[in-house]
Amino acid sequence: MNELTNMLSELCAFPSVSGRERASREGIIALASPYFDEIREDSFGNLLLIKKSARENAPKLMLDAHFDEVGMMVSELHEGGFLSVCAIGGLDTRVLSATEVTIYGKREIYGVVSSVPPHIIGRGSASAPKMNELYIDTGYDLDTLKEIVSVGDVVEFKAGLITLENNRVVSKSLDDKACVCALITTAMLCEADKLTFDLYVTLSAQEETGKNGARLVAYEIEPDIAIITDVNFARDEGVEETDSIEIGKGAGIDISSFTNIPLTRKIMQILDRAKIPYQKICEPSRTSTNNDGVSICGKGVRTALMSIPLSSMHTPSEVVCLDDIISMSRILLEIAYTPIEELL
Amino acid sequence: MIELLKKLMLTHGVSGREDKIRELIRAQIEPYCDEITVDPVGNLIAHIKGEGKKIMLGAHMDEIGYFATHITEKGFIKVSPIGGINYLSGAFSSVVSENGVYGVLAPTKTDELPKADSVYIDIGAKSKRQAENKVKVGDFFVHTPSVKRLLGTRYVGRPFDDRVGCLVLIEAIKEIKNPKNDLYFVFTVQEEVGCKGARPATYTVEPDIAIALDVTRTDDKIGSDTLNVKIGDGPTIKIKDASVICSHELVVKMREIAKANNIKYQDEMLSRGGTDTSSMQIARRGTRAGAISIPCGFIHTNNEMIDINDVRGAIKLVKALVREL
Amino acid sequence: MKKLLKKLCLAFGPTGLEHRVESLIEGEILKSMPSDAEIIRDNLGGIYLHIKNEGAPKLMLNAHMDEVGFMVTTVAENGQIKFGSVGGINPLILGAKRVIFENGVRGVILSKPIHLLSHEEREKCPKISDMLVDIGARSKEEALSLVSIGDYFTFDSDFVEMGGSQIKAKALDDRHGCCAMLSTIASLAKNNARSKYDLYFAFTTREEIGFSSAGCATEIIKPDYAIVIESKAVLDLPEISEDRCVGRLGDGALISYADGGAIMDRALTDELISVCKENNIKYQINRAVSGGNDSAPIQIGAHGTRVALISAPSRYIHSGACVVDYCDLEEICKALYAFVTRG
Repeated sequence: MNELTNMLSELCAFPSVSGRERASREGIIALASPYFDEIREDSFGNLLLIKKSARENAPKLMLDAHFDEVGMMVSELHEGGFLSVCAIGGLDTRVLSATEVTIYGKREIYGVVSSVPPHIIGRGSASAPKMNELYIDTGYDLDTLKEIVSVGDVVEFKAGLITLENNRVVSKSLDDKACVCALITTAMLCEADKLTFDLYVTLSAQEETGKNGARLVAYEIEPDIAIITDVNFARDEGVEETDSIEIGKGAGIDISSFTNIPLTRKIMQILDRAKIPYQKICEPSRTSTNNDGVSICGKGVRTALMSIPLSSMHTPSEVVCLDDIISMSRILLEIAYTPIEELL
Repeated sequence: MIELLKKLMLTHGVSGREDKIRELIRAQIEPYCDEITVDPVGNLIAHIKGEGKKIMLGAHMDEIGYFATHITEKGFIKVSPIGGINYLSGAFSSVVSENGVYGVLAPTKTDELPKADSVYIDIGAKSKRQAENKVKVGDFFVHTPSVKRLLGTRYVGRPFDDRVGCLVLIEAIKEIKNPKNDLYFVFTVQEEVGCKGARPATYTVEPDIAIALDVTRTDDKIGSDTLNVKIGDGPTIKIKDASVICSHELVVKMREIAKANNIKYQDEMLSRGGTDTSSMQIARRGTRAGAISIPCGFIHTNNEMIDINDVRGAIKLVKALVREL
Repeated sequence: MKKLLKKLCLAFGPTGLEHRVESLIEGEILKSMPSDAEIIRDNLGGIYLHIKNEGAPKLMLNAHMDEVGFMVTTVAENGQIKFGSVGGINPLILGAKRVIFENGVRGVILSKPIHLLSHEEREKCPKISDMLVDIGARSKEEALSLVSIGDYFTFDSDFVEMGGSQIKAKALDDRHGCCAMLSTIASLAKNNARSKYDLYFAFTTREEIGFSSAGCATEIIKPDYAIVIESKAVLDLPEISEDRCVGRLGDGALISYADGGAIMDRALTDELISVCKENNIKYQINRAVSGGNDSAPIQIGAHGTRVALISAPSRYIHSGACVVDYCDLEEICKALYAFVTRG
């Protein structure tokens, strides 16, 4: 568990706001390279990690997790060392006030998102701020700030990983580093002579802004099967059963008309037979993950979608359970060892 | 250059019916290109050969307009919008069909903002039969084009979006000789109805780098959510809009080249809108994509406004980019 | 052909589970497939017939096999089933409709009796997320022994001939297109006719969810031309003016210069129209820019495709009671045959 926590902590700390994933290229390569045979990168910022089966001409299994995270982008610099920003990905402005951030200028600098104290607005009368009413306070004067920060630089939550009870952890960026962690763990655990597929692990760019990275890298790979992994809503108080899976009860298999239904059903049968637990979640239409684009890229791809339950999505304090990450790895390993004929 | 701009503006070319504007552009650039093709959807693709990187520059030929869906008994023409129409500006203004038939876009109610289903075109016909002699279901209309000079170097009229981008590319093509890089200039169709043409064009060209030339809004400053781009302060280098985050490496490079050549530029970050850049970025396995924009006031109205100096800056920037990228 | 249309409409094939429609179509293709023709399958469940004419321009005819439907999301403690729609369905049409699951289990979408509705509720459009299906189960456990989370169901609706020449069925969108293509294939075989095109008949999937496999078919085939055969919703009801009705049942094949998803290729569309004129085929021009279909992804797929659209004007689509005029369908078949066999 400690090893897993450490890897996850390292992954979450990588700077990776959508569109700027390349900042972490060297770090992620250093972390992952012991477990893969080949690492490639494309012009869009996707990273492709390949682990070969011992068998020749093995079919291709693409395992995708997105590497990017939500954040902000600098749009204006103001007197007094303040920055205006716009959102990159879906952000709830209500959790932004008084949040600590890192600004990736020529060098990293620290900042705090402005807030208005209750003494001024009066108790209970505050409404949610708009993005353009928030400022990031850097403490510098404008001239010094201009030396360091340009329009278009990105801003990221500053929130390291901490552990809670029952193997739960809190961090920024667990969406989708929890799945990245599960994929690297899968590659770490798998034995090449048992692999029936060549594994193409894709750490894709810009899921939070347009979901294009994964489909571009899938076009390049032309996989026989692609399994997309992402986080899904944990069944917290107030979240509908229909929309969620339970934290700590294992990874979820998503059933949707946007996934390949025959493939998804075969996977569930195989897991039932091997007595590997999983949760079902049904999303009749759009899954709003990389799955949707990957499935129709190029000549079309057979896709399945798996998820890890997560609380407080798109905030500096997302929560997952390590057991669910292990569960996802175990399921993926089972699939990677299954002959392709049994899956199609 | 102004004469050419006027010609480009006054030539018909609505989304899906770009034939006339395409022929005009083709005639302009033919002497300067190694090869010119028209692809199945109507994109004009011009190639100037070089040894280096494959660089594609694009501007869209089409503009917004209307599509005749029905002719009423009284001879009014019912239309559907093609692209994002601003009805506040469109109501009671002059329109012209692809065959040169003039009319007025008439709202059925005058006390509220007209909507797509409450406008008709009145071409002066007294009956259905008279109207049918001039206009068929399936014909396209545009707002009557115009160009007028204002104070200083400003111009007003339509459709600057995106004939001004076409102008930049044409002028650049005329001045590029024996380029180092392998250059493709694409004049795309159907941008206004969903950035459609750029997708197959990029698929066919398979460039290393793609840059779209288009106009950008200047009236979009909603607090700090977007930058305040100003008419006359130079062309912009796009960082992002609602549909795309431009390749960071390319943006950095474009800025360096602009600075090195003393070309004044503005940063562009939009929370709304999109251009062909998004389609170029996601063709095949992905393209390093960016955009240069001409600041333009009152986009999609009858009085779009630009500064000709921004156009000159953009031409310089394009020439520098194809040389130095 | 009417028998075939009936079989096609009754086949169970919501988006994602089209294999029953696909095997029905394969059976029909095999009946009249030329010896040098080829069947191609894609990764998403699509099936294509390629009638070869090497070196000739490629023409792809396209219709989609999938229909709108529903999926089980959760089961309540009392055994009633929550569900979501697959494809765009107006919740207003759902109350008290009968449904059938992929394994044959039947059910009904519950509707709160009018006696218990408040005044506000009567005025409001219901939400699918508030609706339940009763399959007769008495508990969650019993329900889950009959159906699983993620199972599909569709409208339980017969194929009925009504009035003069009209037909009511589920899934006429777009099984009528599949039927027209199959009929064209059969006519080619029967008359031993050849086409000047390298011909592809692409039966594709996933149209109803907006992430269609028709773009993938375009990537695989890379056609020069495509004709999409697809339902077009019309509103030719009393009191609806001519400019809002889109098209009329019985007035012939509906040809579109543009719709909400694409502006079609004018030359190809004009050619289709002139083929209709020359052969006395009844056609009408679409009078609205509404709705979208596979013409959009095909047009911008691969290098780009010149695309045209021909439709049976259809009433009440995306319900269990779609209505078309069989005569319009016959005109479509004639038009397709004349187009592909003309000199």
